[in-house]
Amino acid sequence: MDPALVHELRRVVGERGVIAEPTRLAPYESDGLAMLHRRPELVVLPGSTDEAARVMRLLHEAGVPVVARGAGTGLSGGATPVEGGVLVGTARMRRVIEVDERDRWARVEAGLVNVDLTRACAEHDLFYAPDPSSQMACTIGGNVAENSGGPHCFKHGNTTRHVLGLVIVTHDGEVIDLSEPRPDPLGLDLVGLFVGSEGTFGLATEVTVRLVPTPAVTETVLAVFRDLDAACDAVSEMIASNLEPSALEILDRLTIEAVESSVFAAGYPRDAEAVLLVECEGSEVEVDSTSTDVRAILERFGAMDLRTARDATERKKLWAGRKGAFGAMGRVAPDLYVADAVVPRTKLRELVARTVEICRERGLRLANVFHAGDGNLHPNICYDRRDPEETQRVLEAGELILRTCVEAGGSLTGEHGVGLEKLDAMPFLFSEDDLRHFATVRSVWDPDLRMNPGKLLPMRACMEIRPRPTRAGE
Amino acid sequence: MSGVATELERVVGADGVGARTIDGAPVPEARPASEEEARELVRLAGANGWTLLPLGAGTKLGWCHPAERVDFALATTRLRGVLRYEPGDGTVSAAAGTPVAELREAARAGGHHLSPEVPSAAGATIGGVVAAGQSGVDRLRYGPVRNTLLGTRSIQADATFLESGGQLVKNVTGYDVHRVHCGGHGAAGLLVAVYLRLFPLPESQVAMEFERDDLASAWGAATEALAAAPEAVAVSVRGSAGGRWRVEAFLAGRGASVDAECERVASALGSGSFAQGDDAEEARATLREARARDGWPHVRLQCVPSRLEAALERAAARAAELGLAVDVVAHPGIATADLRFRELDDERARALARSFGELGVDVLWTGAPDPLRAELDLFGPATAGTPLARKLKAALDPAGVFPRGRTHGRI
Repeated sequence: MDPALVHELRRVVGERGVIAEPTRLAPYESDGLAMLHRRPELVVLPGSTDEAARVMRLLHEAGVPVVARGAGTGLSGGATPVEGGVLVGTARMRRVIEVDERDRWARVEAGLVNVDLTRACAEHDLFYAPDPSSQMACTIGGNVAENSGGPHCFKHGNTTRHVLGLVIVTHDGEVIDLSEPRPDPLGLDLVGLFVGSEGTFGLATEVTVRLVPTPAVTETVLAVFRDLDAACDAVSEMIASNLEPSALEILDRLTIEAVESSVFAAGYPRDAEAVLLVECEGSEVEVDSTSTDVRAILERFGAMDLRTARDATERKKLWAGRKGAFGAMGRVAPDLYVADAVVPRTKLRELVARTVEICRERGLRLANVFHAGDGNLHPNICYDRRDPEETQRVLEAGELILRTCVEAGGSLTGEHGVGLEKLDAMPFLFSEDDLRHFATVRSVWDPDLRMNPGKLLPMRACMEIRPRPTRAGE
Repeated sequence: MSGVATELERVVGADGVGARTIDGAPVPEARPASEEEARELVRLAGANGWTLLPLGAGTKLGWCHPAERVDFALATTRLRGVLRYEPGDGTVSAAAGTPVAELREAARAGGHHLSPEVPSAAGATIGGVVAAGQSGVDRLRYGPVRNTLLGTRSIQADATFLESGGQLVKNVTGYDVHRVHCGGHGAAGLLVAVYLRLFPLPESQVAMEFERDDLASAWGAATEALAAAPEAVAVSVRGSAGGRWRVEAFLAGRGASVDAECERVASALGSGSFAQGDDAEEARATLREARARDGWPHVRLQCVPSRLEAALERAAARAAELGLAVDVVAHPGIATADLRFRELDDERARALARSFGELGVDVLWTGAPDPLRAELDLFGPATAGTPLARKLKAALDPAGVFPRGRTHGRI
């Protein structure tokens, strides 16, 4: 990296805002997709929109690629560094700028941690609904980049339904302030287009979010099943019956074992083949009514046991088990390939069974955790990345799972994004024309293709050289 | 017959070509019977340097500025029908020219509610509704149309298809270009199919109506209704200066829940009228159709909820100063207020536009008289995003196959 450029960047963000020493760059080598990693040339941490704009201007003038990074919890390689590139992180932009209780919105800096936003609004009986499993660490800006979901998106929807406005710093340092909350965008919906663009359009530094009233009553039920199929069928029946719980989550036996052996132990029965977490929220009458019908279905589909969380502490424990599931898998294997695919909800059971079969055929251990209500599967494949042959089998299984889901009418990703991980799979779903149109849209935001290059769109669509990070074992 | 019409006939046949008045001038109108015919029409436009105006039933032509140029209209009304509906999945895909009423009935037959619940009496199509970004009377409960829209299939300016999003309730694959089509009024492409999330039909429905003497007390009552019924489908205020004002609350959901909300609303607002079941549905349909913004000049005020009442009062006062009779349909919970003018001459329209520009809220005109559609700022002033939006339009449609100048920022 040009020392003069580094010097100029230090003048903008201060000494603390530039990380150049190799040992300190190591934590930034990958996001949650650890099998793909590359040491960045430099990490820059602006402390404000103004600093971010000046940083982006300098990097634009120097022709340096830029990868934006929140907390690095992403699971598709969206924040994996690129060759010759600089990581621009939002870790120093963590303020809650304003909370409007009456109109139910908040304006925050992009580096604010997801759960901290809800904490900041709690005193107003409001909360921020999208709740990825990584919400204790992931940032609002990262959520915007990936259009993140979470268990409660079954009722409340992904991040895009909760973003009212953005402040965007473009590739060349221009600031576009679209942060004013309004019922509908004026003109073309640039904010809606930006959400989910995975850092390829620009850097969001501030986000205006919609807040939701804290429900009067929340009831969480843990249903224990003898087999995974029955749990899936129960979910399908609830949806077909037009019930509207706020979350429907399934964990299989291997996941349960891992969770219950970990610090996230939630009291899930170790002898269950599957557990289904069902949450209902609303008024007392609404919750009682929905819960009665939910329980009837659970029993009809063979739930061995139904346990109800009686208070916030018990509920938190049940959810800690679910949200800690990925972390708990560290007890089962050195590495975990967290796949993410989505299928029509009517095909849930069939595709879950198929993913089990795909992994069994390849001698791979599979732990299933998924957002059953949305048809969003997370087949988690256990492996050791130090074993190249096993790693290859994992990648093959991942690709086959994706193809199978797409052939069944599904899509490549429900919430983790395309990033690097699914770049080559984009043609499973999109035609060359589709990808070319996407490339056109991208080039409007980033004519030089320096913003997170080599991510989301395959090489041919962008006519760019895709910098290829290192895989383990290479 | 014009040269344009002759070429159109070669694609869609004589039965598929008619005429329509667009921005005061007659132009040929082509009605393709298939997506391939539609694509060929777009290709024809591109090859000949023509501009085509996409439309459904044409109910929202008055929502936009006059286009810089229109050589022919392309109506999607023969691209009609449900393409895929799996009730167990809770999603539907429909051809863009499907009448909203038809799609609503198809969803209902499968046990689902179609949102947005928009006026449909004039044959409005689902593609037109999406292109106009039109949300419904049920928005308070189900959100704006851009949130129920899961994806689109469009024909782009180079006569190729673009799939954006998908027929899935959760999907983050690729760019959400369908968000640009939603509310883009056809500037970025021709919608041929839309994919929507559906909602369960409610077990119980109730319509409650209360009367108040003036706007302020009606607004207060509506605010209390919103607090008493957080799951309401709609809460509205309707009336006009000098007359009685109507506050309506539409509740829907599980029986016990609706009963409880109904009781709380009645307790808060006092005596009023009550309807349930089919009668409640009919009452809501009446409100739905009353929200149609075609045929009359309308001004919509929109902002965050806390600012709307004051803005509406000032707007109504200004209209009264100008001697204008205005009917109001407002939704305090989602912060939109539609002012319908029973008669509006150009001079007073200009005076209103000047005053309304100082209200500090978004002011959107629909149905303005033709000469004023060019002059007035129908969509509000440019924003920080307008230059980028222009670049996006230029990149997606460099030759102007789709109209220029019709939408926000004169894009």
